[in-house]
Amino acid sequence: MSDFLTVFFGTIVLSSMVIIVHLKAAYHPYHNPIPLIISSLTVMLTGIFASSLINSNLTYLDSMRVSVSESIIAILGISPLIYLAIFIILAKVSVSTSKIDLQ
Amino acid sequence: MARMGPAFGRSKLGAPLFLVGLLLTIYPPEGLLVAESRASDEMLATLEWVGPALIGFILVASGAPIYYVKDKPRLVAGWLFVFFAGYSIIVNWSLEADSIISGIAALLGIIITVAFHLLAVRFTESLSSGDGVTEPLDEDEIKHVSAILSSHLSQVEGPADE
Repeated sequence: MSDFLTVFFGTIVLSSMVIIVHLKAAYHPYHNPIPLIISSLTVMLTGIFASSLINSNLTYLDSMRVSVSESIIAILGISPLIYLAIFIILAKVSVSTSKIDLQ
Repeated sequence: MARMGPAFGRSKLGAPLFLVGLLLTIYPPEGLLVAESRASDEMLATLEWVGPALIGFILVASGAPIYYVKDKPRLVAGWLFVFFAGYSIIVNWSLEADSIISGIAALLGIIITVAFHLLAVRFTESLSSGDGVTEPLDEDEIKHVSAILSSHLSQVEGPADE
């Protein structure tokens, strides 16, 4: 169960980091990212705190590093399913012969 | 990520970040924890099929039919890469109970984080009062816009009349 929770909270931390980097990269003058950054930071810190409760013998930083690493391994483990999904979409697109209705 | 944001302020972070990530994957730094070393090895092993798969996906997507026109050499080359990646997955990938459970945990984590993010987006949008109704153009603006439109229309109609 602790492995499951370590991966679960590690993925929450990792996803929040990705969202924060995305908000920085996608920033433009008509965007108000402050509430989104605050919510992502809150979710991320909650994830770090929860994973530190599971790995109580580690520091906050080490428990975050371990849980994020475990979550990366878990995501890579199911990544062939992502390959399969894209494969199916591209196979459909490659053989598509549907006519465009101009009426 | 490199192409997000409006055209006048696109972020330049995407490509450098990608390159740093790729370099750190291929040449991991010293002093990693055991879990980090395992993740690094796993990423390196995954690159063996992710690389050809990405190249193949891009080639297939760009060679696929658009308005009945397709780029056959590109399509064939793309599918060769895609099938090579698939073969590599079949040879190396073994789905065990542990990885299924970990995968479910990872998916749940992603879904919950995205759900919180969407709630935050909804909340942020509810804060916006909106700009109200736009004022109509005044006389000078109407003249200015009409002049621009007339100029463009005369340019478009000109060559056709000749």
